[in-house]
Amino acid sequence: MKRNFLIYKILLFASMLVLNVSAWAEKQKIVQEVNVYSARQEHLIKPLLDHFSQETGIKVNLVTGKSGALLTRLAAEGKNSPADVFITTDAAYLYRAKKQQLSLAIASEFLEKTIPAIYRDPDHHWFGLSLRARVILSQKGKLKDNNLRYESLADPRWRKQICIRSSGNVYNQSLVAAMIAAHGEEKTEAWIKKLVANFARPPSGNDRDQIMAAAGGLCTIAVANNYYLAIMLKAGTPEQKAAAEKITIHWPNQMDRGAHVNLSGAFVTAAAKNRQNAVRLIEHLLSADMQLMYMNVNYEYPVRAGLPLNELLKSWGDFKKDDVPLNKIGMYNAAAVRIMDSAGWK
Amino acid sequence: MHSHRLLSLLSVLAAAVIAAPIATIAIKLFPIDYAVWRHLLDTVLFTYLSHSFMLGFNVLALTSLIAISGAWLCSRCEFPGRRVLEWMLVLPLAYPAYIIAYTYAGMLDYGGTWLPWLNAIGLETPLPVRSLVGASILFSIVFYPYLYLLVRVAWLNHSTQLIEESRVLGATPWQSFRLVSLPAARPAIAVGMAIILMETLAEYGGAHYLGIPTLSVGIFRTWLGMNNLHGAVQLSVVLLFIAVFLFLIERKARVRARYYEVSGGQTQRRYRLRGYRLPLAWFVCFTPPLLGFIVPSVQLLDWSLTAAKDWPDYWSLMHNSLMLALAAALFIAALALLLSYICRLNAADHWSQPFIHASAYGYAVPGTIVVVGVLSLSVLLDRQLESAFGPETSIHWMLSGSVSALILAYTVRFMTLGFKPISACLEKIPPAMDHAARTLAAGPYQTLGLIHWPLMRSGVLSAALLIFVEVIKELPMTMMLRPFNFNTLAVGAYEMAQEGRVSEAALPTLSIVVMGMLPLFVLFKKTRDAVS
Repeated sequence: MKRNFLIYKILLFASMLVLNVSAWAEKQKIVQEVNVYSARQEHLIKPLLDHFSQETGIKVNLVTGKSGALLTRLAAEGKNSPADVFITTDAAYLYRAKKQQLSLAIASEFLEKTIPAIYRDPDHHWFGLSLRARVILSQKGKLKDNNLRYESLADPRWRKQICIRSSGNVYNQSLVAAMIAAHGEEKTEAWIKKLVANFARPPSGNDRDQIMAAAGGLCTIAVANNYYLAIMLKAGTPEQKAAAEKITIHWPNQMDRGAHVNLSGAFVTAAAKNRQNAVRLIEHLLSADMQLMYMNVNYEYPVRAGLPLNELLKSWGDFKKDDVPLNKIGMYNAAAVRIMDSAGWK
Repeated sequence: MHSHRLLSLLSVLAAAVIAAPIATIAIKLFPIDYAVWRHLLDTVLFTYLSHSFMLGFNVLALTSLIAISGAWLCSRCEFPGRRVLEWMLVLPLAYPAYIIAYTYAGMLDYGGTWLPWLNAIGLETPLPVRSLVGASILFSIVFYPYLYLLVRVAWLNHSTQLIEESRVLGATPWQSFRLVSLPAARPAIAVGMAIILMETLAEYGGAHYLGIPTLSVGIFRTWLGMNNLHGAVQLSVVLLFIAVFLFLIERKARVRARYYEVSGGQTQRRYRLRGYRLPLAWFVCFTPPLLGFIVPSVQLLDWSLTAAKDWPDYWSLMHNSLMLALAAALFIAALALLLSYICRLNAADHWSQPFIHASAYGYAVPGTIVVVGVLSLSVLLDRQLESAFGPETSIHWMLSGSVSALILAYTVRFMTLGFKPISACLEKIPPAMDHAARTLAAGPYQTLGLIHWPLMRSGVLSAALLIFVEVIKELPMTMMLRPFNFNTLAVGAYEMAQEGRVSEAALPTLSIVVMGMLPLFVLFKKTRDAVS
């Protein structure tokens, strides 16, 4: 019996030791590196990071996760955080990081020159990487209206006909923040109340599920980020492809402020130990090659102006974008969540 | 007596380490943020609580129905196919709840793969998977094995003599079940139900995906949506209270039904099932594994064959998952053994007990909140060490963002899974045996090695295997605390699935299931061998 215990203990300590020592040995080998916390998923961002390593010889270490969770980790680690670059998927988080003093102002002529002013922080804290629009979708030929607005989603004629995911999702929070920026809190809350009455089902699932439900006939209108439709068409299962082919995009608010666009962006962390490499990495992600590569993997719009769009994005046509400052979207995030709660958007 | 005291000191220390992350969270409780509570009370708190309550109630009712009837049929009756069904009933444990949610939604919701068939049998709309009823059923078909495993072992170890005596005294099979068998399994049922309830309340991924606004969904939302960690932590205390409450009830039930095994492992005399009872037994034992294992596995297998997705780092995912689960399982089981043994030795000593029991509450805290505690704690330690040894000493890799931090998080969360079954196992050993051993001049270690260990070896092994399976499946903590360039199967599967690419997530998902099946098989074999 004693022997049993011994084997048990040896196994235990050996396995823990191996894990820790291998991590440590890994760390000692590399001189040039940059550490990335990314809310963009591994399979999307890894090819770009590998490209960077090949070009520069700088090793990239990566942890992926949800924006908010990674931001909490960054904040808790404080100045000891190993992270150098933080990549997130919504402007609200970029603003949050800046406000919590987790990001660093950096001076890069290349970045200032390449990114249009509205897609970077005026104080040089964060920089946009790609753009996505939150659009209205319906089955082809079902909606004749050619001036759909977010505002009109609250019309009683859409009773029980709208599919949209939960208010816990940051894309919806940012959409509501944009509404607050345009109309103020009170009017926006009244709008949400009517919108909720139009929901075809209690909010659940992700953006793709809303598109599926619209294709399946549960609702006339789905609200989702436009790249989801593209991915369903290009890389979906047979069921998703079939559903996506029935669906068309309506650009909202084209006669007034334009469709709500949000961005995925990056910043150098305040704790960064490898600052130069961090800046180099962000600059690399804005090179024309990488911008195109990302567009062709995830069907988001390149933030860098003047690049040719791929076939699919081109086929959806040009559209007017809401140019409300994205820091404002971040600023109104808390208010957005609060009024979504009180207006009953689950 | 001396070593004895050392042991209890050690155990209190260990318990303190496990409780420390929760305590770090507790510090964040104050000052209470009245504005947030006001807002939550006015708007969503009732919704969160009522959904958690209803989900918990439904899942408990369904799982006890499935598990107790299954365990009874497989441990007390004999019918053709029993040995296979007995084993199949364990299998759904290999599935994480969120994967079941994604898979079933992918089959039954709009655009689901089963829709053409449903239409063919005249159903116009998809089944309402995304509803309270849907979620209750889906969670039940993966959570019931916790209860099934425990009750089955309890009945296998329970001597049939009492049942026979009750029958001789004129009890009907049902009376003998109610009066003899059920009370014998009461501690196991209490533990199993407590585990299932905590698992249900803490479940985030599946509940969120299915659109059920439970308390843990609300906690996540308060934290990340409202950017209010404070409020989230305070909300999670509600869950902690529920856990403490459950624990007290369970404790009470167990004390009242204190029950020692006189002689275990006798030849079983089983009821032979014939006639209409036979297909009924098959139905009862086959439906749960059919829904909780076979159907999703076939679907995932189909997806993994059709979806063109390469997993270039597949073997490293596999390796990382395996090593993590192994380390965590051994570590937690060893610690649980120590703690529960101390509890037994110090049954009269009341001051160390609360510490030790408190260390098992982490199970009710959602993984995301445990992460916050572990993170704060490891950062705190990092800073202390830095100020003690100077900034040049880089011992960073040991704490925040390291495998050790992950293991600590697993320990906080899964201690119950080790502690409860092991102490339940110890409780069944009559104290008279200890007394006899001690009278014969054996020390506590010798008593453990010679008397208790052989009697509880299978209990410890079961606990370790269960933890292994849990860690393989575990998602939020692994995702948020892992070091750089360290992916696991669960992380790989989730990153795909959450974006709606369930079919591309099929390969790592199936691997999680297969890796979970192996220990389940051992676990199952072990308990069967131990009895027959």
